[in-house]
Amino acid sequence: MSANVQPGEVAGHKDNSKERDNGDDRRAVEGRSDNDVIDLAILGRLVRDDPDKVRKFSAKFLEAARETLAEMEAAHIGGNLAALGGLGHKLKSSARTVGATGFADLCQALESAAKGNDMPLAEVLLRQLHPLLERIGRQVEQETA
Amino acid sequence: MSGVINISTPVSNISPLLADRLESLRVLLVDDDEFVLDFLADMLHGLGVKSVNRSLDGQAALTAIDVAVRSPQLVICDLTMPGMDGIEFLRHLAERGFEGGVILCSGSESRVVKTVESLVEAHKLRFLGTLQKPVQEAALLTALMDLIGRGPTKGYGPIEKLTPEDIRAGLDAGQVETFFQPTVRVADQCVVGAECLARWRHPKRGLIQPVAFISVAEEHGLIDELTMAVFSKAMTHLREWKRQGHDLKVSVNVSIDNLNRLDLPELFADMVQQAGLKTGQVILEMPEIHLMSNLATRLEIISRLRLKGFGLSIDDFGTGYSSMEKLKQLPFTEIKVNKIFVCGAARDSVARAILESSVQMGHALGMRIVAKGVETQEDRDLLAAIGCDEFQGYLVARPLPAEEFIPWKMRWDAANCKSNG
Repeated sequence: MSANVQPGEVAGHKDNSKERDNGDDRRAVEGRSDNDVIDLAILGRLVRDDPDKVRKFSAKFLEAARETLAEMEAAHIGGNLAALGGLGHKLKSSARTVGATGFADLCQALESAAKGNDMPLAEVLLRQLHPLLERIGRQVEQETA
Repeated sequence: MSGVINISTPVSNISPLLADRLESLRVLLVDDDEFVLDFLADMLHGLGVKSVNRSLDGQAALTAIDVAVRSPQLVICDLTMPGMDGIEFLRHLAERGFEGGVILCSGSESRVVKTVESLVEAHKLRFLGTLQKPVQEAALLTALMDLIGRGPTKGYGPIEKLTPEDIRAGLDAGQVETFFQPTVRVADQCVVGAECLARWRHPKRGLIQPVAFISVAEEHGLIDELTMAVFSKAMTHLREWKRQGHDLKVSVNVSIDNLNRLDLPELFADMVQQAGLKTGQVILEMPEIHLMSNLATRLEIISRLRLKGFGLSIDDFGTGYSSMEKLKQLPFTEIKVNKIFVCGAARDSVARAILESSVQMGHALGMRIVAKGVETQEDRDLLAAIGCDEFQGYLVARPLPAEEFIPWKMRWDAANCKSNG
């Protein structure tokens, strides 16, 4: 046994938790209403429930997400799966920060699809991000007006 | 502190002194995500930090550091960035001799983060811990407190190191002092010994940490004399404790440069004998990360130390590249697991896995396992569950002045030790 152990290989056990059902990724946001695509209370807790900061950072997220989705489309057109995965990794953190958990999960799934060299799955996930972001935008507008 | 930072420090509990220090702190944020930069900068400003610079990539951050009139005292760095990633950036930071604090801020998988944490420590950067995204204000504040919340004798930001002349004069004047951090047996909670830690009592600066003088001593041929001074003091105290009826062992840190001295085993053995002690009561700690390089040239000294009966400990295990094969060839009696894999291990599956495998491997080779950096009862309970032999850390005690060690030990054993010996 090497001292440079890989977690999950201790004592002969293998970690199978990374084997995923890709169907879960595809179904990630089905059934969500506009009311629960973003939970701004999560952001609120991070900024001491300051309404100005909730407004500011939810708006920043929407702006950043729209720009990143445009970059994702360009990467997709160029067949650049690695770039798609990197953009998914980057966007998921800000999504979790503002409480867009479903969106963050899609981004994480996109990152995983890229690492798994699965372009068809990445395309499916990418197609879900745009409409979801629009719904997030509508909810943010309603809640921060 | 190291590992994932999740201890909550109420924001309202900032004293005026610490508030002043926060205000004057110079921070550099490195992340390719402008949202994260804005969010962290806003959070830092909210905590009172005024000087927050931002870089979108590692190269820009290095340039900013190189041209800065005053170097940042803290770098908060993402790992996954296009171009120069965080790992490469940290290497360049270390090569520049950066002496400020480093906090990792990551949404990467925990295994990668653990590896990078080891790397940061191996680069001898002042690692304050990892913030998981999304960053919580209390966790950030806890990390900042670890940097700035030190006593007046301990600085933060760039460390003012002693000069070789300071060290020479200080050695002659006996300015080296020894502190002792207790080691406790997991099974019965009894104190079994202590790690001897060097401090410098400077006439003007007060008590100084090893980071300010060890590397200087190594670079200027003074490390042998320094190590001998520390070893001698450790033997003096161990003898006194024995005289008071406390049969303990003491661990002394040995620089890898000390292993170039052919008469090292004899020098140490003579000091032990003159103190009326046994070599078996003394454990010599050597850092894994340096030990495994140039091993062949040091193997003779290591083997002869073991022949004389000294215990030999691989320190900060997990940060080097030991293989089972190499460990089998070495006469080490103990593994001291780096605190990165111990602190918070009860809640960190990656750290726990590495800790468990270290215990299993060490026991398979007949070695004792000591865990460093134990700060919670939860982690202590984990050690008991996985068969770790001994531990040290703030849950037990911080390093103590020599004269305080036995009174502390007696109080601890009275309250905790389950044995009657």
